[in-house]
Amino acid sequence: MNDEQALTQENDTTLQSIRGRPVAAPPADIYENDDGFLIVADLPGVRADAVDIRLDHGKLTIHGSWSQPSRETGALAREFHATDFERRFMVPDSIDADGISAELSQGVLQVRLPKSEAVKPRRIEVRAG
Amino acid sequence: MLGWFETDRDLFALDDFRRRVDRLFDTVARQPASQEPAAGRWPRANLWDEGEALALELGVPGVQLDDLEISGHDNTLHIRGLRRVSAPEGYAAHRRERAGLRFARSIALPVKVDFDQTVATLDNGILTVRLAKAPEPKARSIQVRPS
Repeated sequence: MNDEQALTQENDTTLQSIRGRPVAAPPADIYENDDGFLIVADLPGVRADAVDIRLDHGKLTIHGSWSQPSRETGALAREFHATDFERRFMVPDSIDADGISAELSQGVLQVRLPKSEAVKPRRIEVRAG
Repeated sequence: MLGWFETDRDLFALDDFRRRVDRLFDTVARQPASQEPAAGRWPRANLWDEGEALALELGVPGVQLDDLEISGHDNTLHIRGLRRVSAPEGYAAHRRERAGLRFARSIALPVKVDFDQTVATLDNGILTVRLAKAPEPKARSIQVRPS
């Protein structure tokens, strides 16, 4: 696999905070097999309907919001806050954009990006002549 | 001549030092990532006063309920757990930032609680432990009778 084909993380440090909330880049794992890529990212507190995944010009953006139940007062100790999560990845052209699927379970998001049929490795039968 | 000798010895010492440092880094780098969180405290916690109860929130994405152990003793709450992170079968890893780890946190509670009335829920990777405050001993008024 050459570098151009690999799913790479976009080096984008210009993320701006929206709605005055902090934006964090969630830790992510990237896996690949013959059928496609798999991105696994930690999005604690985020519900499935608060996740937005877009593919635009080869750029995959994962955005999630953690809407903490409104707590105005009573904080005795705070180590984390309601956060927007955002992460962008450059996706190779060989991805079948229509086949992308995502699943969220226990605060962990899994995005599956299948490779288009044309680039999947094929086994060629050799027949005895 | 003596000067050269000295330099050689210094260089040898420097080389030896470099090897020692390399070895040290090797040892650190080879420690399994699963033992300790990579940086900072994990999981992070919020503690709230809800009036009748205290609510502790912990961000534990990917942790299953079965892998959590919550206990209370002496007004301190102990939470131990295991986060399992394994590469899905048949996949090669390009990038791994999510660490599997064992964790333990003890939180000293600022008010007396009744551990028998503790309710823990796990929702979207956030563990919430709700601890009912122990009833305050009632103030007793002592009557003073005129003699």
